[in-house]
Amino acid sequence: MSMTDEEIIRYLEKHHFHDTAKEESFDRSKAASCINLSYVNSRKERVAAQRKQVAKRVGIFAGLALSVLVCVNGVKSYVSATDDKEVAASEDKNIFEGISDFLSTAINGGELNMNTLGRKLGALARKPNNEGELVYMEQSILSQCIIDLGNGKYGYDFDKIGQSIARLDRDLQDYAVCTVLYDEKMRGTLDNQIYVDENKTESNADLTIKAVAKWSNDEDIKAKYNKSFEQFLKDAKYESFDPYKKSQDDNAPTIKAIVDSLIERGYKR
Amino acid sequence: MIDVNCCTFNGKDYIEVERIENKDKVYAYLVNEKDEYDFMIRVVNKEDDKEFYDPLSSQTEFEKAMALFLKKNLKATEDKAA
Repeated sequence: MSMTDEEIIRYLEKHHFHDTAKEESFDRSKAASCINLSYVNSRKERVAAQRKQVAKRVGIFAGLALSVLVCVNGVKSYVSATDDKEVAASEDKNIFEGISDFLSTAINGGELNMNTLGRKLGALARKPNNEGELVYMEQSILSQCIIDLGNGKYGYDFDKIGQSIARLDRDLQDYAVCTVLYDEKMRGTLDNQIYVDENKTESNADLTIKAVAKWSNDEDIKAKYNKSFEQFLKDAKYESFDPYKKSQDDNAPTIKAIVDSLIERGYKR
Repeated sequence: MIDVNCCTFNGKDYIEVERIENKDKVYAYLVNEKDEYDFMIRVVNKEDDKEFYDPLSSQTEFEKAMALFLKKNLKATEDKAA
């Protein structure tokens, strides 16, 4: 269960974070990307601490951290958790449901910055299991968010969608590509791709993955996706692609099989 | 101006704005000097005379560290306002 904006502001005011609640920079979507970013950052390499003369900004950080926590989960559960001898905040998985809530709000409100979409989707697509490991959420949620994007401000703008996928963590990109194409309106199967030009040279699927290559800063990713969708599937060892597993070819792998294949290659679910 | 710990990750400078000890671990809270919305939490480990910021082991630990930070700063803010 997530808190409404009003509830968040009331709570912040109650706890004397007036400035945080009212300042222009306080927005839920920003806070959402923050909490994801911070953990992603935390997973990177070790660095030696050095001392430097700078102004200390505990206040800003405190306000920010509170905003983040309040936004995504409701601060009370965290406070009560820390009152226990063993901090059990990890038990509360609503943190990702909260992200999902205001991701959809941001999409529907048309306020989403494409540069942060990838981060948000990354946060949305993962959640901790009981052991604290990151696992993937159901594909339908991620799919719906991407499709909502396509249905909203940007329409079926494959360039924009490819751009958002390019911002995803690398290990989520195949997943997102396949998920986008899983949607009924956007699906691109090898036998029945939806072509966007009269000459039938490029399909929606082709445009999507080429946009991923275009917007990626990683040369490996560019090489991986800068090709036709058919070639991508071949290179990725997916011999065919039929998200609905049509009767004409019972052996065609479904999207589930593709995702399962990704998982077998080392992705957790 | 005061001395604080600073480090560079991916070409960006982060300053340590908080440090909290919990049981046998010390958590450092770092924020990008130029973007307070970009922050991270690290475990501080000492080797010889040097301190290192090490990654957290899991999302669980991250949330635990966030909770510790919140508890400390929320209490401090309330005490100040009282």
